[in-house]
Amino acid sequence: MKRRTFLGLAGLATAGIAIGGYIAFQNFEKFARRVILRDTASLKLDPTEIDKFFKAVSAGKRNVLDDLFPFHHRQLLKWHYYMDNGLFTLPYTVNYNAYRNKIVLIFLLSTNFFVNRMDESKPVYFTSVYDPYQIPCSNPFSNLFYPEAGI
Amino acid sequence: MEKYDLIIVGTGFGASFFLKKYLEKSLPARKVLVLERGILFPHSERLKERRREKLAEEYLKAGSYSGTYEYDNSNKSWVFEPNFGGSSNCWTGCTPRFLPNDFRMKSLYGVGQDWPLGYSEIAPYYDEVEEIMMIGGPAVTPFPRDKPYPLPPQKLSSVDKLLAKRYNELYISQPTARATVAVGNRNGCCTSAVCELCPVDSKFTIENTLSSIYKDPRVTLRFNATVLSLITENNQAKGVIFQSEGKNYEVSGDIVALGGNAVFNAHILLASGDSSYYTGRGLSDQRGTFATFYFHDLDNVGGSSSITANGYMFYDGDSRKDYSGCIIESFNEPFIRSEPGKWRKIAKFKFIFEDLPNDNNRVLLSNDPLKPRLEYVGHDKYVDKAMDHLEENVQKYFSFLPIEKIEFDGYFQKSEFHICSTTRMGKTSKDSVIDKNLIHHQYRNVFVLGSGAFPTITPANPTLTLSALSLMAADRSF
Repeated sequence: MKRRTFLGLAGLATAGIAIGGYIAFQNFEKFARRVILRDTASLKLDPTEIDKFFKAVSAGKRNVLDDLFPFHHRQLLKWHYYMDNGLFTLPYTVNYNAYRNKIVLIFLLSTNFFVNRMDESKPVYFTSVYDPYQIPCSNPFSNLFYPEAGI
Repeated sequence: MEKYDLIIVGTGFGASFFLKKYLEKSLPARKVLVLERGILFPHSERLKERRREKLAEEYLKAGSYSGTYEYDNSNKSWVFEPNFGGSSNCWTGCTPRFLPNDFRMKSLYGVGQDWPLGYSEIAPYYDEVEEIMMIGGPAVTPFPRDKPYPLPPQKLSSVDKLLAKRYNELYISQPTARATVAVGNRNGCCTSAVCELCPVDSKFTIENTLSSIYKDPRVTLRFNATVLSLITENNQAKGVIFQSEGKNYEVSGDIVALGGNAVFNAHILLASGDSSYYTGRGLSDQRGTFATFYFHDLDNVGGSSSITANGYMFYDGDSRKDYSGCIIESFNEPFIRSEPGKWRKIAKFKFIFEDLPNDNNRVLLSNDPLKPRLEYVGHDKYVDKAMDHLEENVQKYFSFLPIEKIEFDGYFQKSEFHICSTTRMGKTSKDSVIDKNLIHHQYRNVFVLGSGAFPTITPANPTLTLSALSLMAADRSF
């Protein structure tokens, strides 16, 4: 093998390890924040509301992110998020979409967005971390919030 | 040795409904011993645990099903709650009846086994259980009923309403033990959608509705008492051997009712020398799979708690000659799609298939007298064929909705939480372990309660049926 080829391959391997390490070990909270920012870009949402959410999650006795996203879910999320592109998609896309939706869901459930019936023209504010064991009866899609939709 | 008229093993649905009827029909001087392997872990303490609040020392000892049996198949799990009230502490509260045809699978469709009883025999006991549990349900159902449900139905979501309008009695508000209005010690369901441990104690549990039977002066309830085997003599049970805090005890009884689950009832019988070929064989559960529906312009809102509706469009019919019947559950948890303007234009349905009990799936003895060993070679091809037809059936029955796309999970959930058919009922000992009154063919003073009795398991949730069978067995026998 020529020296130039060897150095090229070694460089690629080093870059691969560095990128892989970054993805695998990236702080999940930072990652989740990034996902929320991107997926709620159409909403009137000041990023400080996201900061308030994560601060409240960290302060709670029950960390909802720990409960909702076990290690293997976190890895699947991060690898898909960073590796998927127009030409290539990792397997288990259905699971990835579901977990990604769940990150955005737990944040938006902790705001006034669903209580405002998903009105994207209204400003979104953090209220409290969604936890049915702290605040029961708060499923915002139920007949309590949409009495006219049910029988 | 202490002597009792009746010894009951367990305090779950099967045991509690049996005990309730027995007490109603028995003399005041009767003595009943109830042996519960776990402790009373009250609902209020379970809520504390969920909120990560400090628990009293005594509740830290509450056991879980994990490690109670030996098993090495990671594709299928067998889940239950081993404390006072059994799985009433963790069930979702879904209470559909079986259909009349569910009891005649062999005669009608040439698969499985017929039950030794028919729908009309069990129907009065369905009524009675529904009254005790205060079930909420709709006026029109795919199974016959003589009177309305005790409580009003759950409210349907906007998507459910479209399906109900199109399919009438084949798509209904799910009959449920989640009280639709406050009743007894229970609050009305307010759709928190975490039914496995209801934050407002709305769903029926043994603790919130039937704990009074355990305070009856005729009843002695002993916790931390794991039954190992029956004491038998000349094909009669003379009592049981149980273990408590590492020590074995013997107690004598005229009648024994095994009200553990389908794993432990079979294990106790095997440890007692039960020689029936069928004891322990047929271990089964339904198999469920999810599909997510994305809609163009239909918000899915206004439904009720975790599971709002049941679909029966491909539950019964000639297709059951070839593949499993399927019950559909419409979920109403707070799920979304992360797409502007389409946040709740989404629905989640679970498709649950019946399996056929297979003799090679079984409960066995292990070297540890406390632990059964489970062998599970897999579900029947009957289920796989149903999975193969799922997309076609979904297209047939759901395509009138404004569907953008459907994502099928394509795999089965590890558990539907219904352990069945290890002590099947039938006409004689040549085809079964127990008779239609849940009495063991060999030990005629032993009742074997619960869903272990089911000759076929149907796609529907088993709790209402197994509870009705317990009432019927006690009503006919005492």
